Amino acid sequence: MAATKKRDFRFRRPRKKVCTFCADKVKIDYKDVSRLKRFISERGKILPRRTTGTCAKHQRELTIAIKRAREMALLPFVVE
Amino acid sequence: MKRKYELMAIFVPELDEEAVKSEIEKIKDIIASKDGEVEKVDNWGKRTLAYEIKKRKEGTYVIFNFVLPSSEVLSFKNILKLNENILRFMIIREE
Ligand SMILES: [Zn+2]
Repeated sequence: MAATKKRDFRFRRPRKKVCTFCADKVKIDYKDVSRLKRFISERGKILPRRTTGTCAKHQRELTIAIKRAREMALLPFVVE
Repeated sequence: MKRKYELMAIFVPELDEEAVKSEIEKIKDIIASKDGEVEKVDNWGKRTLAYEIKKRKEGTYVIFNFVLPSSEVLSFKNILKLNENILRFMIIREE
């Protein structure tokens, strides 16, 4: 039983995720396209907090940044 | 009251490097004429757009960081709107 638990921990993603913006203390910037891309799906949609582990405060800022980046054609609105 | 702003402008891809430089100077002059001050200009060069804008697939991105009296922002935007060399722009206030 203990061994199984240990293996789960090693091979599965830990359930509890930490907000990367809180952890790295980086400011969310609409110009930081490579970072923003990690928070949108292949279809271009904003990933939910439960998937990325982003906290509520940073998810709000992230949403604004992604919308700005879309407006400036740095990110697509939808990927066909 | 003077505030800090950031302008991102996408110029039409038809402009060569010299033409972009002169557009940048024009914008700096406009800001100066409105009692503002440009602190930084970052020319990203030509990039592929994530989607087409006015039939263009690419554009030259330039970012301006500047201070401007808040009362002048609207008239500054109106001048930029009339510039046909600009595909799209956005001005945000910096904290
Ligand atoms: Zn956070």
